Amino acid sequence: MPVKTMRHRAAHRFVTIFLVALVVSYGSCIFAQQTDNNAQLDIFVFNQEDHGGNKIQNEEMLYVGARASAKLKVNKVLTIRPTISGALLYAGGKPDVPSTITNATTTSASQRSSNRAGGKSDYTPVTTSMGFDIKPIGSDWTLSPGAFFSWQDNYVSRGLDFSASVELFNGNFIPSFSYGFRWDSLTAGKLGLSGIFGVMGEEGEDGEGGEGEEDEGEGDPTVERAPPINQIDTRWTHNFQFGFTQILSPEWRLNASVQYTLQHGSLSAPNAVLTLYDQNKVPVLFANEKLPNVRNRLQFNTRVRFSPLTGWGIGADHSFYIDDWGIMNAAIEPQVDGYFVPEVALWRAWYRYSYQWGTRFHRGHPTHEYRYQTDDADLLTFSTHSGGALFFFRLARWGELDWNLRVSGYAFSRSDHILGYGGLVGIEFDW
Amino acid sequence: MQQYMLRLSSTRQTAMAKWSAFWTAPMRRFCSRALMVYLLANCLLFTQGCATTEFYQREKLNDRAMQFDQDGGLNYLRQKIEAAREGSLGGFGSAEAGGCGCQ
Repeated sequence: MPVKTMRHRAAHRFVTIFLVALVVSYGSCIFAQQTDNNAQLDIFVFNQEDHGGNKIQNEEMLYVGARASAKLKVNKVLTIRPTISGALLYAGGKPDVPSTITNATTTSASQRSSNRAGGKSDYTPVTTSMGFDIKPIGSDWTLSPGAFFSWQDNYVSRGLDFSASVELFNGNFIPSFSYGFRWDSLTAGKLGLSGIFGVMGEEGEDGEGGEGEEDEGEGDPTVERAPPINQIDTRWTHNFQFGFTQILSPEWRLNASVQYTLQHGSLSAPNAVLTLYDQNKVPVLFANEKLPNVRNRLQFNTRVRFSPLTGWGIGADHSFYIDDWGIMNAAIEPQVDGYFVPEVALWRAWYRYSYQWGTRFHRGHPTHEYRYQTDDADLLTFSTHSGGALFFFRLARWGELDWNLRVSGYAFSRSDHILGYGGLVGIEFDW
Repeated sequence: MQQYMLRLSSTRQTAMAKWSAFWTAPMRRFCSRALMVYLLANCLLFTQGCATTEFYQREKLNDRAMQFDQDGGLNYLRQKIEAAREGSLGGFGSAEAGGCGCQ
């Protein structure tokens, strides 16, 4: 299909999603009572450049989208929180495939890599969720069930969420518990709409690169044949989070949580490859990424905020992450909040530094296949500097309705020369 | 091409060597102690919070500047980027289950 037609089709999909987002989120406003309500519409763009990382997989990306969300108090007990977002994702690009790779066009794994070499692929991720906050009259408890659904051409995720929190000691101490479940289906081809149910549709069977399945993996008998490009892989995720928010004094607030995530199923990326080398460290073969089917992940989070003056605040967020693939990650994020005009023009600036210790399944320059192996740049050792600023303007007040504008910019740079930058413009109504 | 591969290979070797030199037994001990101190500090902060702050004393706390997350849209974008670009769960305490981070 000509690229121009594909772009037109993608743009058409995006406009449709955007309009549906508007109708769903703002249409539900009619159920809202006139208190504590909020509706937001954001448009964002994010560009990622790849000047390093894994040379075989280009991680360039352009992500343009819109998100609508609302928080609507239906009555004294029930609040609903619908969200929907749609985006256009142009991912991939021409990777550096060394000419010494002998199976660069013969194995299924390398077929995928060379497909990606043809240029960017476009995707249309759509994510929607609906959350409910139920606070029985006279109770300090809030129960929040919710549902989640996300669809992308090669990836579908469905999920359920539940959280509970209780206000203790006059709201000075709020412990909370959350559980989230996700059921994901992934493929190297295209899922089509039937992928919603975990079934490959016609579009997927004719998906790009299907011819690669005729290949017998003749490059090297030790290189395992890749799974069919129209195979659907499944993974499940269980996420538990315990935490609390504590008011320490009229100026200090603390939030701490511990998050445990168990993932099982197919955890390798369907289109990821790594390079095998000869004794002279010359790249000679492609092989498929292979990762364990289970991953236990633990993260500690602490957030502290302090306000020396009304309208001004400083804070610091910290996280420490560890998992059983050998990855550790520590991050710190100081922030400053202030105003140009009190309650009318506000700003926040932040900086984030994180250091990641990479997985033990990265093999450096392997000369043969291992049971578990990866070259995924996102799982290796690197540091990240990121930062951004957010500006908030109260544009107008019509009776009980506040009309606000938010503008923000965000950028990151990784030590392996992957960098990204983007921005977001949002309008917000409070009533 | 060979030169490029040699350069790439030496970069990776250097990174592995740096990692081995960095992650020694004393460093592991230091990190585990630092983690214990950090958790202890959090517990101390927690016990500090036993004094009740009344509703009428919460003017500063209720200000927009004191919210942990000011912008839902920006949080969504950051969570998506950070969870995909790092091996960690991304962000600071999102209740959403970790996605695949593909693309």
